[in-house]
Amino acid sequence: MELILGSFGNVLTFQNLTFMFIAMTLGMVAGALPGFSATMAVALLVPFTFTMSPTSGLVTIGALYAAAIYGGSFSAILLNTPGTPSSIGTCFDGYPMAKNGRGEEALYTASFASGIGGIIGTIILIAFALPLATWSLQFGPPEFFWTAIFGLTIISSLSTKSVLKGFTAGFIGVVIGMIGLSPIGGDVRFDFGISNLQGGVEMVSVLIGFFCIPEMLKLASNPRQEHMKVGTISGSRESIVKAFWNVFAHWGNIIRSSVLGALVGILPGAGGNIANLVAYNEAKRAAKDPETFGKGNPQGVVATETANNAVVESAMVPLLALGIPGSPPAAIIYGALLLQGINPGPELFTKNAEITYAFMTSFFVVNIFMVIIGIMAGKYIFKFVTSIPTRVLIPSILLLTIVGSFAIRNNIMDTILMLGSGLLGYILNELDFDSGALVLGLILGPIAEKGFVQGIILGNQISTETPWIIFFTRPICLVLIAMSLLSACWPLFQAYRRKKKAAAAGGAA
Amino acid sequence: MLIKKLLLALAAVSFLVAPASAADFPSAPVTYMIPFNAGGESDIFARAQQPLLEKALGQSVVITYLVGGGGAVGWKELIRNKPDGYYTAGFNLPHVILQPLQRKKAGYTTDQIKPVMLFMSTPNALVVPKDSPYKTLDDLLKAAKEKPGSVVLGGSGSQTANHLGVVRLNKMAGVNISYIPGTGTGDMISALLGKHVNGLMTYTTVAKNYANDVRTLAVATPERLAVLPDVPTFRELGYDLLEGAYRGLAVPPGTPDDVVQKLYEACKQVNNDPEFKQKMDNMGFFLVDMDPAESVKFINELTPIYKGILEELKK
Amino acid sequence: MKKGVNVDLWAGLFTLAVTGLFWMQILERDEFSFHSLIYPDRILPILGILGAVLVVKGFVSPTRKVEFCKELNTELVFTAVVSAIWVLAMDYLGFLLTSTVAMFLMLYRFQPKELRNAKSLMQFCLIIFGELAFMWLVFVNFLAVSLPEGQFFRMIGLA
Repeated sequence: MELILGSFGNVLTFQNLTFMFIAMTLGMVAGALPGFSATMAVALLVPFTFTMSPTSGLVTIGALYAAAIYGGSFSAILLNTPGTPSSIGTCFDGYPMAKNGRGEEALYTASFASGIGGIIGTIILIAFALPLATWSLQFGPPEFFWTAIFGLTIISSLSTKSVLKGFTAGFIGVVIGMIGLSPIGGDVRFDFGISNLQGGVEMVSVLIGFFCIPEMLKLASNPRQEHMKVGTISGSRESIVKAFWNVFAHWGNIIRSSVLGALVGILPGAGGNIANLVAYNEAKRAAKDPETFGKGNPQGVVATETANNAVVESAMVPLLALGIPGSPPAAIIYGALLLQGINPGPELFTKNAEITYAFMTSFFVVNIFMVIIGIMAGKYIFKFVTSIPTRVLIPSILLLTIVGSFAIRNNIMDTILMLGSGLLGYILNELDFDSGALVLGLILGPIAEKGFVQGIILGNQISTETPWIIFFTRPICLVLIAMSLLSACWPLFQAYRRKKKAAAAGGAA
Repeated sequence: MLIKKLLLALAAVSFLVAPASAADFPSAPVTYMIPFNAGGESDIFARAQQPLLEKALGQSVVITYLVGGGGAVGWKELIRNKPDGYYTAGFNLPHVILQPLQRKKAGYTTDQIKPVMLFMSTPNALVVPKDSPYKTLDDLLKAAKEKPGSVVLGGSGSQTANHLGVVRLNKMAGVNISYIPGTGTGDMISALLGKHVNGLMTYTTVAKNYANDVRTLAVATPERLAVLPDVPTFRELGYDLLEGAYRGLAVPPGTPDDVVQKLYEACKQVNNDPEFKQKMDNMGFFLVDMDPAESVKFINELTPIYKGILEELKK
Repeated sequence: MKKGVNVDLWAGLFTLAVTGLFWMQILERDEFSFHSLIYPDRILPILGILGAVLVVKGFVSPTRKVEFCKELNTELVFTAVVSAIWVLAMDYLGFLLTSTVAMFLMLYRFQPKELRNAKSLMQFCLIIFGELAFMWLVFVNFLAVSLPEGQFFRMIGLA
């Protein structure tokens, strides 16, 4: 406790606050630009931190990372473009809100939600870093396979039009995810004879394509229309008040989403990308009005934004407690730590405890700052985007998506795929294929494959004839299987309940 | 039509106000492309080199990433860049040997990668968890022999030095240890600490940086390492296994030799910096110094060996 | 024939086409190691079955959509085609040239006919110049992203 209080002193120096402020502003800009990911922002900042003291350096990186994840909500809400996989869920309700003239409210809701999610995430990080890290080690290949399957079952409640098509879209995503180097065999496959496809399909460019391009095309069909209604009824102040109550009148949603975000976010690889969708799914399931989700329900924004900002802190758990970089940004911070001469891992809590606790407590400051900066910036960003006429907006956004998709890996193939998936996405949407489901398949497919093949190899330890048995013998696997079944069948159950209710109502009348 | 062509030509010229002669190289910033993810071994090393390299070259060095296909996407881009020394990239062995051998369309051939220098190596190390029942290499091999399939080793990637290390050890010791490739170092460390695998065939960096959690059974170097003095080499234990990854800097094919020489000298100067050397030693990176000619020779020596191993693997 | 597009049938056919396209690439099984095929071998049949079910559903109880691609008009196709050429030509002709042309075409097309005058053309140029300069500054100079300069120019430069 003393360490924690003392660390506030280490964080709250004028120099650190200045660094943090600059880093957060840059991070928000980076997050808001589609294709310019948190990972890239962190990588770019690292060289500058070498000249700083380890504490300042880490605190600055942390601030940038958190702000970049939050910044993704701007483009998700205003342009239906998730800047990173972490804000996919924000599009589902944020963009409809913006189209209905509640864009400003949605932006502020995202700020408050991100802030509180981040703070809860920080508390979890400080209180439970070690036990959670040890828990996360229990997840071996078979567990990751089932985690991915569980993630895929979200489709059943995500796809509103047709569950069958939702799963088909999900599997198409899985298949697209198989392009390129196979994670275990090391062979290049499904490359259609194009050597640039060896690198596989970059998830973020496809994400931008599927979500943003169809919207731009729809706008282009009538370039003289308005992009979104400007909220005429409520001004900025009312929007802030509404947004505040959207968030703080729903503690159940906040706690559930941030705890889910923190737990799922710890799992290396899978966690950060799907935590927001898991939280969204649960919020929808718990809601009394699940049918309004996807049509502009602020609780959808609250769930995803609290979850993805809780992920920021929990992604640090394996790194700080065990020295295992679990996510790409964490890997970069790992490198930065090494170059600073600090050995990530248990030493961080003994020899370098001062630095570590300063790093962790700095997230409190960051998240409070974030709400303030977010609300101030949100107003202007909203005004700016709505002031651009649609006919100028379309080419400008296309330019942004092209540059963004290229910048991720400096690969022209990614840009071509971005646009290709966008054009395809328009038609798929019209065929009632759900782009959220497809993208989920794309994210989880490779994780499932890795878990599956590694699991099969591991299974040889148990039995060389039936190595697949390993997927059914481990306790966590069984829990995950049960959760998957429950999640997959939930919509059926709900439909049954609704029918029964309707029948009862009919009987009464 | 003619006007259009003229305009295009003009545009082309304006794009190519490239620094002219090799004598004043470098007179513009030099790009250092990393074909792997930020935070990986190649990136950490390059980041450490960057400030010193800038001092040695008298120009800024810009690090960019072009990730994909286990490095192939980046190397493909390298070879189609202008051969003037301003576009350089990190390259890895055995990757640049194995990929063109193994893939139909790797997008480059090994001889198109023109090495500037091989400056660093990470030899293979066999590590097990600290509380593992296997105290020595013999324990591990004995268990593998008694119950085939019971020992599983993880490592980083397929057809990498780690993978080949396990394959070669299997052959030498007459055992059948399964190999599980992971997607990166962090990935495999958690598999090791979570006891999902029995051990890792990994790099010395892991043996050094996770010394608190792991026991290193053997290293695949000719002699014992100064940083791990208590760890025997495979050779000492009777298995002639020398295997590891080498990293270096490369330029597009056709780059003038005097430019390459200038880049080489800059890299060499970085390697000779005492503070840099100390830092790298501590992380488990081993500095080597192979000039352009030696590097080419080294690659040519390794190629038939790897060809043989690949054929072995296919059987 | 009832009104509307049979979206189930088309969705099913599309799924089957994707399955086929991927399946064809792993026909030469010797080229791949066991570990590279074990997963696709399970996923592709599932996708094929889902596609087949959709096709069957398309015949048995189809969902019909009257408003299929209701936004599809010449402006949309124009935007799609221009952006496709923009992206495909970028590698050869460079980022700056293709972006200038493509953005100009779009701005011109989207401008109401009666307002396409010299003043608005100037505006377009300003918008394009401003945005491209901003992008170039941020991404190339500051973030070290090497936006394509154009293979074509590189080629004649070397020749």
